[in-house]
Amino acid sequence: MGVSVVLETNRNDLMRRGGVGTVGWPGAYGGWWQADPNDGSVLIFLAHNMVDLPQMSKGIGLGVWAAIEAFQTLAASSQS
Amino acid sequence: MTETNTPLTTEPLQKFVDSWELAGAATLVYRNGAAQTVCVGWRDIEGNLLVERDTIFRIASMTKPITSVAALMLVDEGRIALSDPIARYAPEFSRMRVLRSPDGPLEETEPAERLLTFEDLLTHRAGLTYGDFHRGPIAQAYRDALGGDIDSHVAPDDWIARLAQLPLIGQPGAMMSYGSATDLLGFLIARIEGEPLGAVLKRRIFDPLGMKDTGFLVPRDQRHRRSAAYGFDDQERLIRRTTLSGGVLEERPEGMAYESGGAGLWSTVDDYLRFARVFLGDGSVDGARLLLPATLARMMTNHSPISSAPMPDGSGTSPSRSVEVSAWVSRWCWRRIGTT
Repeated sequence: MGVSVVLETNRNDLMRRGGVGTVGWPGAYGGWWQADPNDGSVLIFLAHNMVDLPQMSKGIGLGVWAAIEAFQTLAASSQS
Repeated sequence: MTETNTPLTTEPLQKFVDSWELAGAATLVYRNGAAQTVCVGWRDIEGNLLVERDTIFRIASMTKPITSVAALMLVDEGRIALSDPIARYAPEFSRMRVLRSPDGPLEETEPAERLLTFEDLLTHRAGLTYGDFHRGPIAQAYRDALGGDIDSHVAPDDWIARLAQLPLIGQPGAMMSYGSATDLLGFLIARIEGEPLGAVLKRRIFDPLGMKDTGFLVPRDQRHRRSAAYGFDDQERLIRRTTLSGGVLEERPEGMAYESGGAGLWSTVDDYLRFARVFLGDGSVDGARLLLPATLARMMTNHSPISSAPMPDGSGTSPSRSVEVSAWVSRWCWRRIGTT
């Protein structure tokens, strides 16, 4: 309720890369977060990427979502 | 914990700024009890001001989990029950109509089979939506009735009444539809508490957790820390945007009564970390308890069928074992990214 919950990890899905039980939510301006109780980690990405749906349907302004993916990869590299 | 975290590099994010795909971003990784941040790009390109750790952003739908926690705090206190009809607090919702087809004529409706509940709002199964997701007449009806999604000239009581006048796009509980449900939830919280939502969130969540830079309006003396609003023109050139879909982005008018519990908050990475840490423990952070452990566990449990989450445009309902509430949010974003 109020958050999404990962039921099955899926490396191919931006919103499902955390362990089972990871919660999170995206924001329309290119915001995203997740909290993974399995390892006590939190990832947060904030940006101002103001794009409307007609622009998105033309493929405009999608770079921020690729940046969020790059951030997830970067964050994974911080695990010692 | 004694583990140390490997330092993060900026390069993987900087390249999106260098290619003008992104004005700037503030990011935070919290692991082993320690936070690292990586900030790239500008919060104000024209003024040559960089994104810094304390830059304040509009967090849009990342507002929703905060409003949802506030509602569940009322549940913990026995003030409301998830199964309560919201009409108990908003009699405007006593007699709802439902569109026969989400994009069909506004006159073609049938009566709602039951009253909406708080649980319907919290799981996005209330038949409420965002106008922008539709091609039919419901799109303009939402826009005309409610104004902008993030800032609106419509005051809370009028907004509740106007939303209640619009037909639902599905029967209560029947399907997932992402939209105004959390805004309505926020205004119901404000009604029950007898004070504006911003004041409720400050008292219940921001002050106890120490989220000093989170709110619906950035104080005047902190405005230099805000990120300006950036988007793209139709040639995909990065530009400053003052409005989007008719809504105000940068300079929310002071004195605006409307407070969007669905999308209206400004915050920082460090403030949002404080909120996110609620989900790592038992419902409290550093001794400040927001939720009872059982309520947090309930919040973090799937409440949606693991199939049939429609895309906003009504297409693509393939079964998914992904994410509750938002199987479609995930696929929607995924479609925006394309495949790797």
